[in-house]
Amino acid sequence: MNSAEFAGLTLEEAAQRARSRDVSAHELCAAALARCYETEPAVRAFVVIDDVRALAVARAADRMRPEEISRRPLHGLPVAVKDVFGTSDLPTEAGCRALRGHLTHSDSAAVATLRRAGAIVIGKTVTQELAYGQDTPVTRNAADPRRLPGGSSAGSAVAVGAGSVLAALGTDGGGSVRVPAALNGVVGLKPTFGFIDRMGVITGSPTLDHVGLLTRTVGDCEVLLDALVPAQREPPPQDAKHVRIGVTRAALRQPTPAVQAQLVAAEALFHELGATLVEVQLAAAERALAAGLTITLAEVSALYGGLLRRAPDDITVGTRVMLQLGELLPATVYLRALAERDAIIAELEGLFATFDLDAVFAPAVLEYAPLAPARSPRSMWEARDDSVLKLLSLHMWCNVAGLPSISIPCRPAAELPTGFQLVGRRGSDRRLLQIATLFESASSR
Amino acid sequence: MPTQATPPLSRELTLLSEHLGCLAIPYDFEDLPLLLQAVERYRRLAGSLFVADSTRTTGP
Repeated sequence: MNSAEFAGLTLEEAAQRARSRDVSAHELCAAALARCYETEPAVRAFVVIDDVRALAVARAADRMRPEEISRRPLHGLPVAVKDVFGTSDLPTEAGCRALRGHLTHSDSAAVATLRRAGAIVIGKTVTQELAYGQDTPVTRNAADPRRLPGGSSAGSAVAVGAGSVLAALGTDGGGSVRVPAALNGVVGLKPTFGFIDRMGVITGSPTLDHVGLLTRTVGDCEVLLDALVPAQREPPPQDAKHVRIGVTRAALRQPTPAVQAQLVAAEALFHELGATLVEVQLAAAERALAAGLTITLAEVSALYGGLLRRAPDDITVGTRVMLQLGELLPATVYLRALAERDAIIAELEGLFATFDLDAVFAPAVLEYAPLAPARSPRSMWEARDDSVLKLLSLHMWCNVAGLPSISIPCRPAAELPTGFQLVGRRGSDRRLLQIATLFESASSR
Repeated sequence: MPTQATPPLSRELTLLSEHLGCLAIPYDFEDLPLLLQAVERYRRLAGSLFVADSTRTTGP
């Protein structure tokens, strides 16, 4: 298998071929690594590529007996993980100089599960510092390397978008999986809070951060989720006639006209598929930004106060300012933010129940991936406009309420990739994936 | 870079913040303009959470 063939494979196809021994784990890994070496000079998605170990693991996988292989849904499949996931064999530095060489000596829960399922971790991907979203990563967009990739799971989205791996793990505390997914033309799932075990992950806010998945297709996302959280799959619906989707007109007017046009087309496709579209107001979602940001600031500063004191010069100024701001917040404000979160959760549950919604349709980004600036702002507060805050507000309500949300590419892609979100009720992750599959199947016809 | 020439008022503020268990803020006076900008914009965004008699809390 050559690198171009590998880049055109879905995880579902590769899994089937690897388990039937139509292709070996070694062939898959070698092709993935070849693709990495072709694309990395332009996109810089990886912090480290562990080629020697990956190929050795692949060779060992190829020596397994058929009955062992049949128990491994991801047998021989090359994947990558954001450099916040603890791994037994590589440092975990979370994009922070203060954590250079940091060894966890064991796999995080999600990585251990992936490996048990047969996946081969070929490398760790670039994250913004401490997954806090303040610095500009070295990574560039998979569709156009002159452009930014989004963050903070920048490297994971780009590695999947560039065809270097079949899937990657990321984390999402306010859009960090869904934004880069949309900007790089891949699928990004932030499941229900706590759905995927976060043990062993260098986390941002402990109450807002989620393990998320980045894949080429919705079908791939289902396979990966099943490997991480095994469950009996229900038969997929044949059409969207019983699907009810909430739409917020105000939110859909926020993006640029080019992105709006893509969203309108996506919404129209749901209508054609027979879904019932219901106009809803998301007042709670609008308030979630203040609550979510406050919770994030306080919780992240509580986690990293020690690091800030021990190694302030090894933390970039943007992140350092966020950590200092979090220390200045009164506990009373944090407690009011927690109370606000309870109110937001109740309101959103009420919204889903009142309109009997399966999902809410919302933008995932406001514009196409911007060109990388000559000089980047040192923090989101320094930027002249509120673009980062506006982007956060598209996503933060899902984190504050712990709702599952999937970012799906609009297809066919226009000049650059963009995407939209479907947000579901807590625990409706698999239902959400089924609805996303209906869209994906129809849009690729 | 650690703080160097600390003006007298800042020294008292530093002492106060240290007594409250906070970092001597700001860590570096070069951070101060950005920190003030962050505080101002954050306050504008989350102003309602700073209102002491917020109706969403359950105090008397």
